Amino acid sequence: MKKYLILPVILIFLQSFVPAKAQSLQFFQTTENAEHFLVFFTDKQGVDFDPHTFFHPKAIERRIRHGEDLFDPTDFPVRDDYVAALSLLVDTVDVVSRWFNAAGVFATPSQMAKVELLPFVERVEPVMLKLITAAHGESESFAPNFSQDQLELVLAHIGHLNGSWFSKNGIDGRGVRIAIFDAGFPGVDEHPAFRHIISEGRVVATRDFVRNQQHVFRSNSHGTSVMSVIGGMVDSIPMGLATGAEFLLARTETWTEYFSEEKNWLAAVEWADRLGADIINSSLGYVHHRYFPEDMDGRSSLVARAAATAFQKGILIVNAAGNEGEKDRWKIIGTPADVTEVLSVGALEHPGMLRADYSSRGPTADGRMKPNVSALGSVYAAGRNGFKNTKGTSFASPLVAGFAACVWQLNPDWTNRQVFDAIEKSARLYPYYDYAQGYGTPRADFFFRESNADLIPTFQFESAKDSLQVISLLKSLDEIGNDRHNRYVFYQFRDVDGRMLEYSVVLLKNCNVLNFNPAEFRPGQKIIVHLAGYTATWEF
Amino acid sequence: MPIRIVFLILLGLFICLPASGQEIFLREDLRGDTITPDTGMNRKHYRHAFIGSNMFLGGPDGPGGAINSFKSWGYEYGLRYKRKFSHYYSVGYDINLRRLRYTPSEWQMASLNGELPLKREKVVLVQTGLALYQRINWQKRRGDFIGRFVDLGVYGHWNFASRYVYAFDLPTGERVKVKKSKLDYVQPFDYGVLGRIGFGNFVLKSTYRFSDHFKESYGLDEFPRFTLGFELGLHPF
Repeated sequence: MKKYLILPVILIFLQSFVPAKAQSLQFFQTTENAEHFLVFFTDKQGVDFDPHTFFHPKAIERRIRHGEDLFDPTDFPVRDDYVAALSLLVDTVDVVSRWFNAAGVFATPSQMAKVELLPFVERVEPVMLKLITAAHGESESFAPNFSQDQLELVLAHIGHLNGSWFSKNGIDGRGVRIAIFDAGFPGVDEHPAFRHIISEGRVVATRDFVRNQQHVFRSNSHGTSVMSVIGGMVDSIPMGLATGAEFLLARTETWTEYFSEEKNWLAAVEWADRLGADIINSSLGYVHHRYFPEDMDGRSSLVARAAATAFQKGILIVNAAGNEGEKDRWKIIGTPADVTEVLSVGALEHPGMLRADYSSRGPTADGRMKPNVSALGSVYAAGRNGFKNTKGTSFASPLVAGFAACVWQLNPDWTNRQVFDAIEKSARLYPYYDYAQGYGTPRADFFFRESNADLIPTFQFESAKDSLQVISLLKSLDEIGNDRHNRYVFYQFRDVDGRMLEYSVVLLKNCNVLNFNPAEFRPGQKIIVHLAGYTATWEF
Repeated sequence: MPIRIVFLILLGLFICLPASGQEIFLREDLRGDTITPDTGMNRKHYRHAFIGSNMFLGGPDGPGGAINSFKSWGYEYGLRYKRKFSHYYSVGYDINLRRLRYTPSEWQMASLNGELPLKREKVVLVQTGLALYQRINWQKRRGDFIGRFVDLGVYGHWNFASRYVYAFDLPTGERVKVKKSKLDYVQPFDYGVLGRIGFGNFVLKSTYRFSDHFKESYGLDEFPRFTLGFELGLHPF
């Protein structure tokens, strides 16, 4: 009998070696004592720089459009002699960053002690960490043919963004260059979902920053799925809005869920900048393996600083909020989704169109609103060989990236800030927001209507001595129509200092929408309510 | 409970329901969000459970203490507390329950059983105890996870149960199994030092026992004093 008790214990220990394999990277690095670091240099004196030979013409055009100096010192190359001297002291120099005037190295602590003594080294930062791609589990069953549910889902990719307004006006992201940072793009060069892109030569450049080579059509299919919901097609049905866009594909991650370095992300963003990317979709986030929730302030992480710099240079970064929403350990957005200038995208469930439980919520550590907007997180996407159902903020982000490409095609003179702001304003809940879905889903019709200001009140506050009621002005629920989203009542409580205390969503069932007890509120506190496009505030 | 009271309770609950009976899809209370927790894997305080197993290494003190290494194992279950003082340094304690099983290869106690050759023999010690340790983490920056570490510490155990089990065959061919508990010759306490090297949930552990298992007056040879084993931290990855 005791043998049978012992056996499970032995099995547990044997089993413990299996995941240990996944950690082998860290283990062997430790035995060698080598780690990843970023070495920052003191200066760029004496370097030669010609933006017209260095940058792709689209990068020059973007800088001019955004009023950026073509001779910005952050674009100057890093001094070769510094990198050469550094390479003599460390195992490898794998990344060189113009923006940060830095080089990424793999080195032992004793090597780094010597590096820190170099007169041209300003400081050193460790960068080894773990990265979580924002896919949240998926069905592995590939289906070459649509089921009815899958057809409805793929139509919803565009439908929930009112994307037909773009397509019927001939807007498909043409002329806009989108960079995708991900874990691999197997099948993109052969998959039917991308035939229209490949045949027109619209995959402009590729780079594998993990293996330092050009070929990216390998490894994890997460990037393939992401790209498909930006610009893929299935049976002539667009899976995303930017079917006419150009693409830069960067493999920055080793495999899904997993080890990586911010260095790759940094190298990729500078690469995308140089090649003229207008938009970067990054369905990736860095969370607890290096950071604490209180570090999610948009400044602490290296990728946050890189993302902010990219925005300064006119690039719009669209980033997945993350899939930590159900994990008590983290719950909030990761980085770089915490950066003010990054358009962070949360995920909505299908067909309910409310925040998916897994979608990371805001606010940032310093109280800023995140995510900015939300989109469908459950999608029907291309996989390595076929198509599959999958979900995660990974897929909400590219849907919005495709949307952004269309906005930019429609308004080619706009800056990234204008595109960013317009996408927020177009969203369903705007000006209402909460930390679950930001301003809600962007809507394409916003960009075609002459005026978006003629909002009709859908409710009113009625105050009595011992109650505050929110009364619907809709004569019946039929007046709302079939749009389920319009039957959700969003409301929140704000403290005297404007801080959000609580937010909720309820389903409208009758005309007496909400009841509050005024005795539970202090003077100056507010209730903000949103119903069917109309937002109003009550202050106690 | 009288039905009238049940009715009144239900009525009261119904009256108290907020928001006109609307169906709540989402409610997030942010009032506690501004408080930075001090409990977590890389926070000020952290507690977690662990399980472990070890084998015994090294030579015995005498020929009677030789064991069959493949049939001698220790198992433990414990709770660990860690108090962090800096990125690099923490201290803490373990409370554990441990079962040690020694299978002597040629044990001295056999002589107590007469001339009959033993067919099976083991000594089992069940212990509970406390370990105190200090931990060095060598990752300069890490988030809220355990990371890589080295622990050095001391431990002490109370042998609250002990048993000697052996079996032999009678000339008739019948096998006799004998169990003896509360062994007089086992020391009530033992103590020693420990070292651990950890990679997140996975820990390599070694201990060295300074104290003897057996009382000196019985003249028994000691079993091997070194252990080497694995621990699995029962906390998130």
